Amino acid sequence: MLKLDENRCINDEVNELLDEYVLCLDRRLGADWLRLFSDDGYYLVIREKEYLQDNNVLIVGEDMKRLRARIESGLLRDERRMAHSISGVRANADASRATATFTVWIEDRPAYSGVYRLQLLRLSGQLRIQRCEAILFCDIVHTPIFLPI
Amino acid sequence: MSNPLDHLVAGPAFVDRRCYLDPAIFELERRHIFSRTWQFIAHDSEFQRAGDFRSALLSGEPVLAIRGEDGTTRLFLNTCRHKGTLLVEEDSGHLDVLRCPYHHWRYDTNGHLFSVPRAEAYGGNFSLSDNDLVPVPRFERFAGMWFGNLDPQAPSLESYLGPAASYLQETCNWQGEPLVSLGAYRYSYDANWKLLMENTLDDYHAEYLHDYAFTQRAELFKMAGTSGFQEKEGSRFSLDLDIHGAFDQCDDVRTLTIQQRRERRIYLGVFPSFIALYNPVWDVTSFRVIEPVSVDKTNVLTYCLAPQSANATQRQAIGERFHYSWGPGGRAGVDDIQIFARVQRGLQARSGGRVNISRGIEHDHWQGGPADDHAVRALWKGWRRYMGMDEKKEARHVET
Repeated sequence: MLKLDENRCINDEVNELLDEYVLCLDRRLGADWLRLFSDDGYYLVIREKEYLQDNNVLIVGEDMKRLRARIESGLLRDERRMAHSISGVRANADASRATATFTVWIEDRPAYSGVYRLQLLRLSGQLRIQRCEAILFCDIVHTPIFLPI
Repeated sequence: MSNPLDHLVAGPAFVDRRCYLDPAIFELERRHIFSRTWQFIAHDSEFQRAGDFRSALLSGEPVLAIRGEDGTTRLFLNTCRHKGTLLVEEDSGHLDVLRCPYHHWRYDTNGHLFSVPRAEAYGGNFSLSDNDLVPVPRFERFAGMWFGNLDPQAPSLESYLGPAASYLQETCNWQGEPLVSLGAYRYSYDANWKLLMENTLDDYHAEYLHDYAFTQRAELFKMAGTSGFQEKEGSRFSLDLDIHGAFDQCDDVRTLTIQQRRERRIYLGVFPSFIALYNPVWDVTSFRVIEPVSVDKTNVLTYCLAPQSANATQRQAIGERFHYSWGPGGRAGVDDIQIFARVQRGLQARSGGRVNISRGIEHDHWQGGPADDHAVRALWKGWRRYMGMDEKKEARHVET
């Protein structure tokens, strides 16, 4: 089982960043969501089991070029409403890493739950995401993933 | 009581909607098809050492493949001989001993019961050896893949594969080199199990359903042309391999951005539920194991494989490329999963006419054109054969 106790600090700036992250996804503000990442940002979705095995058998794994394309195609092709809940937002002392537990509802059904593991950096005074790992707590992926979760 | 197969049309040119909708037909499929055909269980590379296991469902029955201390890989029913408890819940992993959680009956990796707490209460006639794990009647290996069959009278795996065997052999190695499994996970879709097999073997849909995905992919990766996979003249076929089917093409070398040595794409469907795929554009091999849950719900166990010699960096890269088109987050995969549910909903219009699988039916040859339905019709040929439908009664061009 994934250990989730590495980050323990409550950090307002990290809280705000994650709040913005889910707001952008829930309100379909794809371009704004992309701006939360650094230019060398990376986004992946993986089940917990593969994450622990470190086998890189990903469900989604994209650099910014591919992520931009996913947003573009997802916004066109996936009109389902998404609603995120996040809790347990914690960072390490210098806010270079953060974790948060998430649940995503699509339309009226719970679709995914898991944990975000974020690698953060500061650019022109702003906290940005360099790597976002959305790790799913599930045996079976029941809902296709067009847009990021 | 009426037989759900009475007056049913299941190919060769048209298929009744009931085949995808009727729970009674689904139950017959389980009994007549899934209990009598060879089902994929595991890949060789999942059994590196004694105690490595893979669990699966065989026609709905839980089974467990495990490599024994003696080096032999066996397939057992995954159930304790005492109260029937499921012995192993995990999909795969390693066990030194199989211990039932209920009363701690313990079996070794060869399937022998060796410990029963307070066994004396069963009396003098109780014998550990009478209570070993129950083996599945048939368990055979081909090209590094293990298949099981509940039917003791079934033909050998190799003879069952028939003309599909050479395609499976080619798909499941990298230019002669064995493959290893990097990992496997499950996803589901809300539709009948046959839709995934039909879809994988049907190249006709790719250009249309995935038009946006392929155009975007071609732009993103600077592939020549718009679709991203222009065929070589005369090297793109839909194949009828008796009850199995395949889509076989040579990809244009301009689209092979990862490697340029292996251009042949094979998407092979082994009747009824195993798919082996090699895509030269991403240079990835995958298996899909179709697991019917109900008439309108299906799970898919999807494997990612790599050449045995691939180093850690190469394996990481293959794992990363694997998802780009396929699976629940893949560009084409999401389109497919969504369209299956939409087809299933549309099929509920029961008097909407039969499903049409007649493309290229006039070309009476095992090898059809790229957008023909030869491979799809092969699936239905197997379906009719195992469901016991009388081929002679079928009209070749029956339409409602």
